Amino acid sequence: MKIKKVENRLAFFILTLALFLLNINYLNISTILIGSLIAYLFIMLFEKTKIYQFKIVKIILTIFSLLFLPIYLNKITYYISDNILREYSTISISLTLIITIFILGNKGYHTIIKVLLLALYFIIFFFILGFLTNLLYLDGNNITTTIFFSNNLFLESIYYSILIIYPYFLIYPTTNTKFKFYDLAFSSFYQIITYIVIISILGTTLTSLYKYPFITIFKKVNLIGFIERIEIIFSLNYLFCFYFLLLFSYYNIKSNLSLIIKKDKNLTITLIFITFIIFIISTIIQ
Amino acid sequence: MKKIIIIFILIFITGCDSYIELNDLAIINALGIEKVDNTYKIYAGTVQMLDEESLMPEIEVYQVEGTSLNQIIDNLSLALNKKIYLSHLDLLLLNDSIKDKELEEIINFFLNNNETREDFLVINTNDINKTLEKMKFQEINELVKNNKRETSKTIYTTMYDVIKNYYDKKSIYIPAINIKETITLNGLKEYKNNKYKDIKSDDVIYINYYLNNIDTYKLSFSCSNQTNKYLYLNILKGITTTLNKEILVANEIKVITNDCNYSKDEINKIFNDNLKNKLNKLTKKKITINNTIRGTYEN
Repeated sequence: MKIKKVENRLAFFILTLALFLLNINYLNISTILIGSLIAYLFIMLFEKTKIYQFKIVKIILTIFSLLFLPIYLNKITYYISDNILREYSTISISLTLIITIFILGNKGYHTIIKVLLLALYFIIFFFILGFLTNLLYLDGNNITTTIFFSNNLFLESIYYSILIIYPYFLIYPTTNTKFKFYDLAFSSFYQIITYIVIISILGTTLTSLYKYPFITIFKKVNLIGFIERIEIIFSLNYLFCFYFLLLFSYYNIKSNLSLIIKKDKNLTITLIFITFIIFIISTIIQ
Repeated sequence: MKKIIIIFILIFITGCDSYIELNDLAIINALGIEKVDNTYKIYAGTVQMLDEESLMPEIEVYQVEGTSLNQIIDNLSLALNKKIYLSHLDLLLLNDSIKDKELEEIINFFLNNNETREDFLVINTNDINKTLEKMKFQEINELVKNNKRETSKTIYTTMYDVIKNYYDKKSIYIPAINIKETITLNGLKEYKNNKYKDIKSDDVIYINYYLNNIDTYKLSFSCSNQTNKYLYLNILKGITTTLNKEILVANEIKVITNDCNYSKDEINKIFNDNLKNKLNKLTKKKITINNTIRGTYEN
């Protein structure tokens, strides 16, 4: 089965959403808007110059992925430990994640996209359900002009634009899909809606205090007395998004290395070594 | 290679090594915190087995002391020989000894504890131990909830509200419970700038107006022209919208008794004057009131 272009666009949407949620404490509406604009200008520049075909860009991207993976593997491990498997050791969680990423990442891009599509039904269903359950708890008084203010607008916007450009490099150049304005517009629009929902439920103060405000909003849900304590189901939903972030980063390392290391056996050994190093670093860093 | 990985996963990663039996959990439903001479005293109400006669869960209160909250929870765990489980916490009791420093430690404790959900009720009481012994946490919850719904003379303050108002540097309103022979709700405690201030039950209604937190309540005015005769109103709904320089209040009022034979305009004026007068003490903004009145009145 051939991969459709819309599937790649959906993958971009999931990855940007995952990065947005994991960095929500540093963002606000102004940074999302300005950052999206900066990212769009850069992406257009990359598309025109075809910069991603240069070897040096591929090397930089591989190094970036190598730095990104242990940091986000650590973040996601703690996300699971804090929200889903509270009694389980973080090393076991991290190990499970990295082994599955290693197996699935080596299967190729086709398999990754198909797994993402399978998970997408679950993700979209719970996105809609989550939005509906939260409708009752929206409080307009929490939405003030502070949602536009930022202490360091320029730096935060640049940071956000990196969070957009990185998934772009992971998906579009490898699949020869043309980047469209609406890809970015749709993901930014969805992120702004998510941000407004979170702010209107928790307020700016609590949103900045909680590590996972997108999970905390579900802790408040209590529908007709018995639909409550549902945050773990939604935590699992977000976990899928985060997992694909790791998976695509790993695939990027693998595909770029395969250009340098031609022999399959050597490539596998190198990948095992890199995976092991990533696992070790992720357990060491705090 | 695949087989080796699968065998490795099956042996080392699966399994239930971290499971905990229900009997090994100390499920805490109510927590009381006070500070005496630089030492925290914690009263923990834990659910025990079901009482065979009443079929209600029995609650036992444990008392532990220590210098920090985390240390006390560890001590409690050691004393009970069980894992402390705070996910079902429904009530937090504080007293006037909890000030800024202590409040910050309590807030940090709950924010750093992913197990807890901050939607539990927070109350202020003059005797934490006695309150926990005399009344079950569900009954206290119901007492505040019903009073809020029927009289609007209290506020159902959750830990979310405490955290939010503490960091926003706003007043924290905590329902106050007075314990003597019986347990009674005694207005609110307003906590601001490291100080507690008592607020009478009747004044709580106007704070609820200010916070757009009004449910139903009843109000009576004595007739100006006749003694022992009253105008009795049931306020079914009250919505407050706060703008930059103005506060808009909309009420749905039902006239229950109109001994004074007031007209609709007169009722409107009496009610508005009283509400404006009380709200002016809380805010300097312009107040506009719009009422829908139904029931018995003179045309």
